[in-house]
Amino acid sequence: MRHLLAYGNSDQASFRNPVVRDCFDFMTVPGTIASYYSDATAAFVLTADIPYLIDPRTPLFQDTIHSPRASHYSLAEWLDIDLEGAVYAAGNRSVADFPPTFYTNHQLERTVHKVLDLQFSYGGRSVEIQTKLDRYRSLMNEALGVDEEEDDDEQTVRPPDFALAPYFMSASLTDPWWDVNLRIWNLSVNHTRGTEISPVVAVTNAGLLQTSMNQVPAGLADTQFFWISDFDERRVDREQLADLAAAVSSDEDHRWVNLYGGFFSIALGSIGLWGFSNGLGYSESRAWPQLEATGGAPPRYYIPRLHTFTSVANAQLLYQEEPWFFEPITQQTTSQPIPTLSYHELKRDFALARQWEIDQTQGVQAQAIAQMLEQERARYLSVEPQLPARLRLDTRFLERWADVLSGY
Amino acid sequence: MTTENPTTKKAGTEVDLVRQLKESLEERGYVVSEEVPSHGRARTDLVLWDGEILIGVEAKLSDWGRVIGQAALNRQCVDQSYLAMWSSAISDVILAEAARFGIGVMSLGDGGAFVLLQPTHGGPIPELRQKLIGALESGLR
Repeated sequence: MRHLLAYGNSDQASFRNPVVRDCFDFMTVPGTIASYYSDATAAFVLTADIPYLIDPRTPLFQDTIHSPRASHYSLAEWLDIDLEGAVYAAGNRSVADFPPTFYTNHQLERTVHKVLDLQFSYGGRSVEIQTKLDRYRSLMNEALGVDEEEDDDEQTVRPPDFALAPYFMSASLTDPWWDVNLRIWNLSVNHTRGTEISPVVAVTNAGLLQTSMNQVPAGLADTQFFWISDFDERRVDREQLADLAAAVSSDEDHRWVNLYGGFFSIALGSIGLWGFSNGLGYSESRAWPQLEATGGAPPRYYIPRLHTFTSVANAQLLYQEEPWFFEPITQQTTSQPIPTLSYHELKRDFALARQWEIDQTQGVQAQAIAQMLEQERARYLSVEPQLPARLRLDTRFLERWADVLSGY
Repeated sequence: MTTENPTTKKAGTEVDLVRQLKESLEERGYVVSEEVPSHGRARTDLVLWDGEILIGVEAKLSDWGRVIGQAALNRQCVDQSYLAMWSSAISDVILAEAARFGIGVMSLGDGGAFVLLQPTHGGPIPELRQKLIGALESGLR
């Protein structure tokens, strides 16, 4: 299972932490950050020496944007979209409309080529930003304890490991946005580097995923991405979890990556999911059209043996009742009380927990993972009566996950 | 903590409850601070500090399940953790639950604040306790 970790504005210190760096495989850079903090992000990414990809975040330009911000304008430039013109066309009401009809063949051709060329040439940005690059390399070396003289510069031209095609959220295969996606894929197939371009399937419900995945044309990269809007693995019902499992287990020809997932996605590695992405302590799901409305990670704690977050004080209370839930982390770190951990230490512990989850399930069959989840749920239920009723965690999702996984 | 006989219910909002509780405790010589950042993003309704014992009080009109939870978490940063409610709202169930989690219970009636149940010493996390004291002493709240 490959872990893609999304890079956020407040994450630089964490991504320089050697412990955190050992806990994921690829860094997902949101297009909003890559375009708005253009030089600084490029300098950070190119000196980080971490495999990476850039998520073009095109659904930000789907339907209506209210009060476009500076970051919208910078991303629009990346996508060759005339945001200023769209605002003007809407009567300068601080609104911009991007209906499916906005994406004519001509517009799509411009957008597809611009954003893919930017991704393919991203490694070459090192030439333009040498001063910043030197500063960020120095910071990275300092964090990693690398001697400046021992450092070689060869990695600074590293291109992204995956180039993502633009994508838009579809509610059905008759949705006009689905047609926009089909045209994007056809343009991508015909791109000179078509076999290096990863399509992104974005759908509003899990029941639509498998059919949509099957519609991706041949001739694109083997690594393909999907996003199910607002698919909170801990909240969705069994049927939706089963739909996701059925979709990822149905395609053995491609390497599918869930753009927003948590432990259930890790478990799906046992039936064919190749990778999943999330933020450092947040963003295990994302709803469209609220794409633009997310901030940094809240200061909370991830309990490794319950696969869920809670407040630091509540985590400490549970730890005092049953340290077993926390052992995968506490055995690797100092036994510092959870409420005294700094923001970056909370993120570090999340990264360690995630890596432990991946290690625990690597090469393990789905039914064995289901048994593990059932044991964790049973253990929690035995502890629960010791906790104040209002501080108890809803862990019923463990049963739903186990139920679906036990069918494989 | 001083005790007086509880009397009948006093109607009012949670703001009234906190204000009257504060006044009652101040009349008895306690230095009382309101809405003090205590742990994580939480703020404790009232914190009493006499230079030796640190006391936290969470007040609620009726949602006793919630106030037990808040007071239980406050035990991580104060020496003694109380919940406070109007005297008429307090039941045997609340007293039993509070006792189970080492939380003291304070009632407020016409006669002022009255301790119905003494808390057990919480054994707070020293760093959190010190941070809270620091915030009180520097007037940052």
